[in-house]
Amino acid sequence: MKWLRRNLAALLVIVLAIPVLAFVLVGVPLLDRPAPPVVTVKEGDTIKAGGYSFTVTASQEFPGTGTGPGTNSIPKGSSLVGVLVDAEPIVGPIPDDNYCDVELTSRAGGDDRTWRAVSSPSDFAYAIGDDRTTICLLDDQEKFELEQVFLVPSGVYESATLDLVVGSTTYRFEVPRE
Amino acid sequence: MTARRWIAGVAIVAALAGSAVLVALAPDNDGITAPFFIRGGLGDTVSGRNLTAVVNSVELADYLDIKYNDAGDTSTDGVWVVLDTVLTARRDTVVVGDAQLWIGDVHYGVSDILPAPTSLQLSYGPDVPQHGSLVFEIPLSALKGPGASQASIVLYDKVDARLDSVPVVVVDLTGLDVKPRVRIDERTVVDQ
Repeated sequence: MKWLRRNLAALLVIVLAIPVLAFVLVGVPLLDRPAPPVVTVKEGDTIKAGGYSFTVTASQEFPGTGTGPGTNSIPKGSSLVGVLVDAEPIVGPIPDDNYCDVELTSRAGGDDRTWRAVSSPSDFAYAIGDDRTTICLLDDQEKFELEQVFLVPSGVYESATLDLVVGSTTYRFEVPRE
Repeated sequence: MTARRWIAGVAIVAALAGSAVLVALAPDNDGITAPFFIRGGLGDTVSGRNLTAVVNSVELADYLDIKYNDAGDTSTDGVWVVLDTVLTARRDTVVVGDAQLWIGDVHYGVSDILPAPTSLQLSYGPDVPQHGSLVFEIPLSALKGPGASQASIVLYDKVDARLDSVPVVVVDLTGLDVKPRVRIDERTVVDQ
């Protein structure tokens, strides 16, 4: 008891200091950098963002049969995935960058993976449809249909979601599959 | 002086000496945050957190014979080190524009002379392996320097690789003939 009385103040300091130090080292950096919000969107649902409404209307997978004569020019073991997004102008604030970003994502197997749209789909014998665009510009206030094409490993399509980023918000769409 | 004070004194001196040894042995600030280099040799599959790399072969050349686009005059006063690679992103798109060739203590940056699309950009995303070339321009004298037999291709996939894993392929640049020209084809996605 005598020892405890002599060292009580020091023990209290230690008991208080350790959690405070842990919070400063771990908690504060996490609070400073909150994860950007991700909004999950069910198949067929429409979201409103950036002065537009967005709906993922269709997708299709084209499994690769290889490159060269007699093939579909898509490498074996890979698939080309095309996704269509309807965008219609609504009354609402347009983000400062006037642009939306689209990625195909998968979390299968516990790994977060992200694919970017192919810049030249014709390299894989894929043609973008007439009256469709591959650029998501939000400043014209006109209706448009976005067609994005991704080259992914075989097997990804079944678990894929489409991330549409408007401003600082990510809208994660379930992809309608045929 | 009592024995108890002697013991305390010796303990303090021992603690100070131990602290000095720890300070001397502890890594410096750069060492604490250094990347984790994952090493392999020619033909090995070497994986970092963001990138898997295989370097199939190394050639030396005076001129790059680029077959898929016009890159102008590719002659050099030094020598081109041409790597035949298969690179695969693991999580997202990857750019290896900060890759380096280390010969001894000298670090050479990867050349951007090849016209796009090149293996510097793994632009599709993860698990889509791309076959293509990476080239480094170095002085001829570097091939005779110490370290040329254990040169390291350090495949940085970002400017700041602190505390991240980076694939490194160790190659022997000695004893290779310098060819008049080496053919460079456009990068391709590998059939799997």
